[in-house]
Amino acid sequence: MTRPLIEYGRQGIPVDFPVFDMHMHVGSFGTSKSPDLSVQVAEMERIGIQWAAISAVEGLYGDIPGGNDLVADAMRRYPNRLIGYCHVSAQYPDLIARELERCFSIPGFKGIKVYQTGTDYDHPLYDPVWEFARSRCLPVLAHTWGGNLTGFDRAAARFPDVVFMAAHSGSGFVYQPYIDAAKKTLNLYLDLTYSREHTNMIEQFVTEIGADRIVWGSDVPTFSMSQQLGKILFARISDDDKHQILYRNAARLFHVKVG
Amino acid sequence: MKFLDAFCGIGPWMHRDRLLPYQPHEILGLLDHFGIDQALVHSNFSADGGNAEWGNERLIDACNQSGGRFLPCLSLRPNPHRDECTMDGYLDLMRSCGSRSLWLVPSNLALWPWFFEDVANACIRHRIPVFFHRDMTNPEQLHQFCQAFPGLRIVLVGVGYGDDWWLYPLLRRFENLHVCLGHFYIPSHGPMRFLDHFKANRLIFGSGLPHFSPGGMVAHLMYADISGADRALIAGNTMEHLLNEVTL
Repeated sequence: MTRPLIEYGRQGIPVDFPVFDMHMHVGSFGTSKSPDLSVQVAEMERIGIQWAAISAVEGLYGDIPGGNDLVADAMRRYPNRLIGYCHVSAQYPDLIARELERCFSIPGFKGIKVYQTGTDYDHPLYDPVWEFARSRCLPVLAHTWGGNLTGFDRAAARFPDVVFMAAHSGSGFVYQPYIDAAKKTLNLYLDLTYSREHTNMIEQFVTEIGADRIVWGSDVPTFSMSQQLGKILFARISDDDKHQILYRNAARLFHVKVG
Repeated sequence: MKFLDAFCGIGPWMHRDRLLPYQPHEILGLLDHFGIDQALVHSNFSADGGNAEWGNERLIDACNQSGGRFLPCLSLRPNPHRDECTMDGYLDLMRSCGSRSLWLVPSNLALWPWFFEDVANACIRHRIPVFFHRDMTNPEQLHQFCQAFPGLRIVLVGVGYGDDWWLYPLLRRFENLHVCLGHFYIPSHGPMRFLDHFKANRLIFGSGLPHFSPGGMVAHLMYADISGADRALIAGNTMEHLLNEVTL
């Protein structure tokens, strides 16, 4: 690990440290069929990504039990590569307790995923989710967009023992609300998964928040795994901070031993 | 392998965020950091709606002081007034400053074939590659434009990871249409999937600097499971070839 991390990106060298992708999906979107899961995992192996935490695209679009089944099946196929998020939604409050109990009886589920679908994250309907996360010591990943955290930061403030990870931090180049929220709420983490790579934004997050509360994910099969990885490999931050972001934080939050 | 960034702006623009670099020396520093040899640069000022001639003058100055790292891509916004630069004037300017490509800036998102007829025909005649941004048009207009000028060498920038559903049919129909990686043409399974359908010379490396940082794009290409020859075409050889074929 003596090679500067930027050199991995410059030369396309498979990484030889245990990168942990904390934001990956299985399943397909409507306008573009995703590569098969085996292709996705082969790409992880080729690039050197050791672990990925997955949720299912189909769950995001409303089939919550079906999506969680897809995650369980993927983890059974690749138990040494994939861990799962149990997806729940306040649009289907009747499913929340049932899906949480069902998912966490299956080995491999280690986090909870929620999505912006019309109910703010600080609505009381979500309280059982945060209570469950607290009781089981589970991190929560929420879709956010364009600086609009839709109550995720407020929920985090009310449940300081739970790790809240705000996906797509800085999306739309709206970075200040994420910085402000993370400064106020110490259990709020910033997930850098985002298609674009605004110049100097990652550097700004590290300066303002510190690498200890920034996590890396690819959002595959939406985006390119290597492009997302390259954002960190080439960032103008220290290599120690890059290691922190690429796997140390996620390993700690998901209680996964890496390396 | 040579990296030629085909999508790079320099200079100030109206809506700049304070985090973004814009001065030529800052952009040169970033090219060094990311291992990019040269950049085909356009004026941020002109691309963001400012006077194209104003922006072009400053662009040419910056290119002249870049030690050959910046290659000028002049901005062209057609204008009916006689005191504005004509197409012949643009061609003369291109000859004098060594520019071999044009950054087309349609007003009001209007990429109308009848409106751009003189520009497009001159560019076909001189094999000048023309750039435009996906945000300045839509797939239907683009189709009409390609259909009206099938010989025009087009480089489309700003295409997104979710655009394949209309982009693939367009690429199949028009062999002179090229896609720039920048700033977020990053569909999952990356260039490999594209190369299952099209040759590598349809894909062109570009970053979207200074708005967007090139690191992800460089890694996207360097980690791709493709041949070294294809990688070199995408990284810069195809763009260089297009520029070398210009007959000004």
